[in-house]
Formats: sequence, structure tokens, C-alpha cells
Amino acid sequence: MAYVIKRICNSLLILFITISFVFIAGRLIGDPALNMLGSGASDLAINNLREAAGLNDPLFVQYVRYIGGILTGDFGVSYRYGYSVLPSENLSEIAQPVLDIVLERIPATFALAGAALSVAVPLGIFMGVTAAANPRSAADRIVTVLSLAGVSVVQFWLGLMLIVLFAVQLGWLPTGGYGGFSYVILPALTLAARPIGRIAQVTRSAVIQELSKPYIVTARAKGVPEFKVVYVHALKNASIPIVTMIGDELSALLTGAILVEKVFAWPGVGLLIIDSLSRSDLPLIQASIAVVAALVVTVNLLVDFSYRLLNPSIRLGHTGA
Amino acid sequence: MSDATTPELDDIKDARDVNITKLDYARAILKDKVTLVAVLFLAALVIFTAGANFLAPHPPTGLNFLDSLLPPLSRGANGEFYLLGTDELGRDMFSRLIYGARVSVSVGVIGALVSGIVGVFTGLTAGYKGGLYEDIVMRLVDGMLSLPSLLVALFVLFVLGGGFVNLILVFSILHWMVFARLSRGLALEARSSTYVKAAKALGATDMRIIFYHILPNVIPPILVLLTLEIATLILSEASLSFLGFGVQPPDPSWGLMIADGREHIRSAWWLVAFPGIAIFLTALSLNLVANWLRAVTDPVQRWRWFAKG
Amino acid sequence: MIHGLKGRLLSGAVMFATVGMASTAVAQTPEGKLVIAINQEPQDLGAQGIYKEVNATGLRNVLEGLIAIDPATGEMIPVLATAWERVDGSTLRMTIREGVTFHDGSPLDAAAVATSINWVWSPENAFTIQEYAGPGVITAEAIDAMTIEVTSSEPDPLLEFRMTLGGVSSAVQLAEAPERHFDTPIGTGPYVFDEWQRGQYWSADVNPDWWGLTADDAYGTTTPDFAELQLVFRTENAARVAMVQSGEAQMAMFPSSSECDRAADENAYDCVTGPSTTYLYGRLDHSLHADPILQDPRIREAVFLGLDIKGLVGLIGLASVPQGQLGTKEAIGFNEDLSPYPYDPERAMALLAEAKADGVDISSLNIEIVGRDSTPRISTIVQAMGAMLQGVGIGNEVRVQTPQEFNPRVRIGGYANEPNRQMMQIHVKQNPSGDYGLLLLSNFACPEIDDPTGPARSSVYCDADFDAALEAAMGLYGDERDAAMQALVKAIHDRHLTVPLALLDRGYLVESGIEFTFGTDHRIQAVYINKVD
Repeated sequence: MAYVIKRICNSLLILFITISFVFIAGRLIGDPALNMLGSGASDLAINNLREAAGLNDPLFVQYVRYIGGILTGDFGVSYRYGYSVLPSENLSEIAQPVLDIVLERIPATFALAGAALSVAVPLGIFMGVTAAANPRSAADRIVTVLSLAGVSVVQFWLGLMLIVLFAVQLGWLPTGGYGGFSYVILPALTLAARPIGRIAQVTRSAVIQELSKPYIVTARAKGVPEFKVVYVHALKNASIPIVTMIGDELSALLTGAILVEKVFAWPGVGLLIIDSLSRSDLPLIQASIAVVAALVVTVNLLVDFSYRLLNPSIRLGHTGA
Repeated sequence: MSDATTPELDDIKDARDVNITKLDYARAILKDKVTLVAVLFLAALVIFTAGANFLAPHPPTGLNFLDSLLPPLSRGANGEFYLLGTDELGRDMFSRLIYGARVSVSVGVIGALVSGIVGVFTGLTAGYKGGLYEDIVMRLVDGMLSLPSLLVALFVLFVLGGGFVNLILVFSILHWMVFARLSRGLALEARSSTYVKAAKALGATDMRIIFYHILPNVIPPILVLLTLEIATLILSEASLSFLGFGVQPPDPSWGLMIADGREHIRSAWWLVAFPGIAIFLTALSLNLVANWLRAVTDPVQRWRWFAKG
Repeated sequence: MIHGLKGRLLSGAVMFATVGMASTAVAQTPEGKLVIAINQEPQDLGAQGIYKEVNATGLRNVLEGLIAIDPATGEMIPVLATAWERVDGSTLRMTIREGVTFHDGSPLDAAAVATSINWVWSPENAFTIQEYAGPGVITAEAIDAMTIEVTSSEPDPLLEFRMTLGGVSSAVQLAEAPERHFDTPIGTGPYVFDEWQRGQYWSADVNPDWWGLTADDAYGTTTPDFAELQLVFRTENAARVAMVQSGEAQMAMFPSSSECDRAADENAYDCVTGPSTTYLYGRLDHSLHADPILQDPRIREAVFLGLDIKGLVGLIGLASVPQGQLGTKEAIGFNEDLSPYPYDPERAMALLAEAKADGVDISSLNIEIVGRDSTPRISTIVQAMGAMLQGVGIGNEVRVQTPQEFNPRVRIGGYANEPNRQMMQIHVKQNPSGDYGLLLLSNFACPEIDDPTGPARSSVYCDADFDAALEAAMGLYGDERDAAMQALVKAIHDRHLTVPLALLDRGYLVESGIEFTFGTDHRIQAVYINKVD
């Protein structure tokens, strides 16, 4: 229990540091008002925005106000999203809270990550087990090269190639965007390439390890069918590292989605981050990084705990190698 | 079936006892055709990268409107041969790829080396010394590892601006932890080994023990990780350059070549296809080599590679 | 790589031809969905946004202005205002069109229009449209049920032009739910706003009660052919093109020139191109905080002569060679006598040699050619320019920077901290105002370090005589203004201050069977997107 609390505190601390870092670094790139409004902005517009957003206060005051706001769930309002420039007096009335903008995009990102995982998990496990059951066979070699290929391919490049082939040349699937089942296929496949490889590798080595254990020899001696030996006994006992890897990959998917969302115009948090960076919408950048970081840190924490739960033999207090 | 997965105990002992020479490694690699191809590819890559000035058939910069956007295997207006075609400024794609390798590969190698040195140093010292120092280091490592690194890299580069130096800086900050975690584990193990105890008894200083005694013994797993990290960083560089936050033109990195070429993805597929394939093959080769290195340096698995007969 | 004008430009002649044809044809019932892939998501859909098509592409289908400018002739066309006249130098009286209602059912009258104008031009709101606000503060007032008076606090010769910029939106909405103004536009246009899915698209349905169906003085007799309109955001160039190729969209903005070329071989879609008012140009540091070598006129001329502008235009594809100045032929101040800077490497090298003989250290020339990474294909453009200058022996380095790095460097407040630069900034800029005044002021007037956000903040040039002449010209009207501006345009041309690199064409992929008519302002208006047999 003490370990759990320690880990949670550690994660909160890291989140706090990240949020503070993003806030302070964001102010180092010069006048946020000028950056947000671009080169065409008038003196008046810049001053109004500074006034409205409290940018004229000392940095420390702004920082305290920002952190205080976050504690009450207020990440501030976007100066750009929804508004060209804000009227100074009714800023709080009509500006959209950035947290709402970010949360609105979360389901799309989850849907994409979920779709990718639901492809990657069965396929990766199947490939890994097949290889493990026939070590050093042609199938094993093919699985090894394929799984390494999955982690070696540049995601956005794969996405571009898939669009050209399946959407443009063959016309089977939409080129991008958000909609029904057909829209999710190409982005999910693109995103799944890496986890398929990682899961296959881990499954392969975990199952090989299990297959060398005495209980397997006994099972085989008893005449249990080979299929059952491999898929039921060995795979079941090899599940801990596989589950851990899946959890690891889930947090990688959440950030990996940035590129895939960009290529397929998938309206998730990743696309929002790219848009807010290109518009220098500082409050939106800060909030989306904070939200994604919180998600990823949470997933990692849960994976860590479940790993320990599944495998009590691990010495608590130190992270396994 | 079971014979192949569960080696005879004697075999393993044999392999462990055997004095493995460099020649044996060479033989082992020759046995594995796939790894051999990967090694040859990487060797060629290094040779071309180092000797780009002599080996590239054409200059990577310049302007030749007459030969703009020629497909692979074509001849230019003045009879030049373009193996992989030309880009819109009429520059030879093959030569651009060779020069691009310089940027992409050096970002990967330098980034991995810097983060490796930082990570191994902190990891080994933390593992060996223990105590509060270890606790703080490992907390930092755990915390930073739980962050979405691509996102943080994106933001830092947004603030600092892209470019070769900044990219390496960001990669070092965001990747040293993997080395630190691995090295700490290795140092923990080594701390209780006989050779460390012996060195201690002889009065060696901590630093001497860490860097003269422990380090040489933990090189193989670190080397494996380094190889994997180079591949990861090459892929990250491509992604960041694609998003406009990586290497800036005119440095011809592979990622940037894809990003620039996607305008012509249908009319001049070679502009996008070849740099993508170059990244893919490089990362794949590095992964294959790492896989092989891990196998041959793993005391449990290595019998396969060195067992006689 | 010169593209024929496969599409039709909206010109006076074409418009009349369309009118003539349409009168014999039976108006079609609008049906089907028109999906247009556009290059960016709007930041908002507020009424001020219609002044630039890039702000909110397609918003003019929902929100209309008071006056429109015929891009072909520069003539002003009545839209929601049917007539206007000058009361004095700072006041304009406008008659509002009868029988128009907003999409929320409220009537368009003088009071509603005045509310809208006051909102859009309010200095308190400080919308980006203020970049065209002119010398004074613009306000409006209803003087009777259908007449308003628009006043600028300073005499303003371009007040009519300013009234072509902003949109008119429902005054009821502004009073009752101002926050909705930005994401739910309520206008008078041929399409009624439906919804905006963030990150995906915004859509609108045809307005069966649109006033334009029975009036032909504004849009001609063309009527909407599509029942629904959807503008899909796709920032990736290739993705927009792919949408038309796969039939997901009927139209896509700005395909690359190579995609446009390919369209000629396709049956399913065509590429339609036409000139715009957008320029690509280079601004070479002059005397302010710049390396003194750049004040040598021979060096400046050599740099300009070393650039193969025709080659660059060919490289860019959808573009033409500008006539040595940053403005369109219709603009007040356009100088017909100027010609593009020629590509003359021999002369450039001779000038360099001459300067060298006079003791100028040519080897210290190292021009930094810098573009902003948001400019399309900037990396290719700067690399080509670098290679061209290298070809005549002018040392250079090329660079592409993010707006964070680039923007401060091109303003007096930032570049004053960068002594002895040799920078050639590459910009893309639109000049829709139909007048050279603002352009000359912002590019060539002396910038003041004490006023780092002033109108001339981006200028790198300082000449008191030029400033005096410009100030005099800005106060003139009509032919006098034209002549004075022309003289100034020639003066800056001869001093080799900025080099116009390309007048950009803009293209669209359009599904076969659909015809898109547009002008140099490239407004995407669905009433001009028609089904043909």
C-alpha cells in the first residue's frame, strides 16, 4: 500500500513539474499575445488581449493564478479557438474553456487507440504463439522479421502509402476523416503496426520460456493435444509480460496517435495539439499537454500496479528491469 | 519440438565454457543470413555516409530545371544517369538520400550516444551507491519514463525551434532514462559479484570499480539498447521533421524529404517512397542486429550460435 | 508549366453571358450535397471573418456584405446595400435592401445593419479586420428605417472599400446571445448555417427564402444548385486531392501543380485555375541594422538579376511572373511601365566585378534567404533561390523558420537587436485593397523603434523624402492619387528593395459535371458552383 501511495505521489509530482515547465517555457518564446495574433495584428488588439488574458501581470502572479485555476479544474480560456480576438470586458462570458475543447476530442482518440489495440492484441499474440510453437522454423523467422518490421516503419509514411493504395488507387476506403467503421480501418491499421510487432515479440519469448517448463513436459506426456498445450497452458501462464506490454503500448498509442491523426484528419486530441501549436494558442497547448500527460501517466501507473498484482513475486519498491 | 527449445544442459555448459573469439562471432553471423544482410546494409550505410563526398554520383544541392522530377532509372538532358530519379529541383534522389543519411543517422547515433553516456553514468552510480541518491535518480527516471515523450519533444521544439542541435538536445533529455534504468539494474547485480568484492578488498575507489570493473562487464546489454535507441531516434526524427519541428531545410534529412515530397505523392511516388524505405531498412537492420546481439550475448541463448557441430 | 485557364473567371463579360443563358434556362431545384475540401479550419465564424477568404473559407455563403467588388473590373456591386453616396469626406450614406430577412427570421433594416457594423468595426472588439480600419474609427447609425450613415472619425477616401469587407449578421443574436456569434453565424445568405463539428467540417443548408432568388443585381440570375454545403477541413494537400479522386468531395482547394497537370488525363475531375491577388516576394535588408554592403546599389541589382524569376514561377507551377511590383493591374497606383526584374547572370557578375574593383569585399556577401515554414513549399523555393545566387557567385545560406522564430526577425522591434544582417525575407502577402497606399506604407515607410507595433514595423527601409511623398499621396483622391502612387512604385522598383517572385494562381479540383466560377479574390461561393450537363 505504501508503495502505491508513493507511486501516486511521484506521478502527481511529475505532472505538476510538467505543467509548470510547459507554462514557463511557453512564456520564454516572447510575448504570447503577439505570437497568438500574428504579424497582422494591430497595437490595440495586442494590448486588449494582454489586458484580457492578464498577461500584463508579473509572471509569478500569472503562474500562481494558473496553478490555482487548474486545481479547481479551470485551465483558462482559449484566445483563438472560436474567437479572432476577444472583447476585453466580456472575455469570461463568451470564451470557451480550453478544458472543454480538449475533452471534446478525447473520445475520438480513445476510439482510434481502442481500434488499433483490438487489431494488435489478437494478431500480435497469434503471431507470437505461432513463432514460439515452432522455434527456428520458417514461420518463426517470418514472425521475427515481420514484428521487427512493425516497429521499424515510419507511421506517417505507412499512413500515406495506405491512403494512396486503398483510398485513391483502389477506392475501397475513405481517405480520412471521422465517421463510420470504414473510416477507422486505415488509421487503426497504421497505428497498430508497432504494437503488433511489440506484442508478437513479447509473446514469443514468454511462451518459449513457458514451454520449457516441467509442467508442459508433464502435460505433453499425458497426451494433452499440442494445440491445448500451447494456447491454453503456456499462453495463460505467459500472460503477465504480455499484459504489461499491452498496457505499455496503450500509452504509446495515445501519443503515437498525433501523427496518425494528422495524416488521416482524425479529429482527436493529437490533431488538436498540432492545430494549437500551429496557431500558438498557448492556453490550449498547455491544457492539451496536461490532459494527455495525465492520461498517459495514469495508464502507466495502472499498468505498473496490475503488473505487481498479477505477479506478487516482484519485489515491491523497485521497478522491474 | 521440445529438443530445440530445451537444449541439453551440457550444450549450454559447453557454450559457456567455450572461449568465444571474434572469429566465432563472425562465424555466428555468417550462419544467420537475415542478420548478415542487415549488417551488410548498415556497413554500406556507414561507408556511404562517411564517404558521401566521393561516393554520391551527383551533388545534393544545386538547380537543374531540365532534369526536374525524372522517374527512377532515367537519363537527364545531358545524359546523366539517375538511379532513383530526381526531385523537383532536378537533384539526384540517390545522392540526396546519401547526404540525408548523414543527417538522419547522425541525429540517431549522436542522440543515442549522448543519452547513453548520461544514462549509463547516472544508472551505474545510482545502482552501485544506492541510498538517497539512488532513490532520487530512480524517481526521476520513473517519472520521466511515464511522460509522453513525443509530445514533450514536440512542445520543447516548438519553444526552442527545430534544427539539428536542438533535436539532439531534446532526444538526450528524453531518452537518458532508459539507459539509466537498465544500467542501475546491472550495477545492482554486479555489486554483489565476486570481482567487485575482490576489487573493493584491494582498496579500489568507487569510481574505479564502477568504470574499470563493472562497466566492461555490462557493455553487451547496453550495446543492445544503444542499437535499439538509434533506430527509435531515427524514427522520431522523421516524425518530428514531418510535423515541421525537426531538422530544418536545407539539411536533407530523410524525414524532411518525405515531408517535402508528399506534395507529389501521386505524380512522383519516388520522392516519398525511397526516403521512407531508407528509414525502414535502417531501423529494421538495427533492430535485427540488436536482436542478434541480444541472443549471442545472452548466456542462456548463446549456445545456439556457438555450439560446435 | 503554364496552365491554361480551364475554368472560367468571373469577369463582367462572363457574368452577362451567364445572365443571358440563365434567363432561358429553368432554375434547377437545389438537390444533393456539395462537399468542398478546404485547407484549414476557421478560427471562428464571426461576421468580421468574411473580409478574407482564408479566415473562414466559404462563410460568404451564409453571411453577406453590404457591397461586393467585382474582382474583374474593380467595380462595386450592390449586395445588402442597394445604393450609397458620399455625404462628406468621412461620411457615407447607404440604402439598405428591402425585403431581406436573416436566417433567424428577424428583418434586415437600418438598425440591424448599424448594430452589425458597430460590432465588426468596434475598436473595443479589436477584431483582425482592424488592419483595414484606415485612419479613423468607423461607426454607423440608422437615420431612418432603411438608411444608415457610416462615419469615420477621420476623413477617409476608402470608406466605400471598407464597407465591402465585413459581414452583416443578425442583430437579435448579438443582443441575446453574443457568444453564439462566433460559432453559429446567422446571416442573410443563400445557405443557412447548420453545424460546426470541431476538427472535421462545418455545414449549411440551402435557404429557400433567399432574397437573391428574386433579385439579380447582386449575383446575376445564378441560383444555388445544391441542397447542402459541407466544408471539410483537410490541412494535408494530398488528402484534399485524394478526397476528390475518391469521390468523397466534389471540390478541393489548392491542389499542387503536378496534381493539376494530372487532372487533364482524368475523366472524373478537372483542375480549374485562375490568378489571385497573392504574391510571393523577397525583401532584402537595406540600411537599417543591415550589413552596409547591401547599400551598394550594384550589389542589390546583382542579387535581383541573379534570380531566375521565370524559373521559380515554373517551379511553383500555378503562378505567373509579376510585373515588377506587388499589386494587381486594377489597383490604384499600378505602374504599367514597369517590367519584371530580368534574369541576367552575366550582368549580375559584371556588377559584382565592378563593385569588387572598387574595393567592395564581395567575399563577405552571405545572404540569408529565410522563409516561414507556414508558406507552402517554402523549402523548395528558398533552396532554388540559394542555388541561383550561388550560380552568379553570391554567397548565401537558406533557412526555413517557424513563425515563432521568423516573425520577430521581420519587425523593427526584433531586428534592431540583430546588427549587420544580410537577410532576404520571403513572404506571401495578399493585397486585396485595390490601392497601393497601405502596401507602400507597411513595406517601405521608415519604421520607428519607439513604435514597434506601428504600421511600418515590417519595413527595412528609411528615406525621409520617400516618406514625405507617400504622406502627400495618401491624402489624394482619384487620378492624382494614382499618379503619385505610380511614381512611388517606380522609385522603390529602381532602388531594388523588394523582388516580386511570383503572382500566385490558385487552383481547384472540381468533379466533372460541375462548373466553378470565381474571381481573383477566390471566394468559394456555392451559387457560382453549378451543375452542367
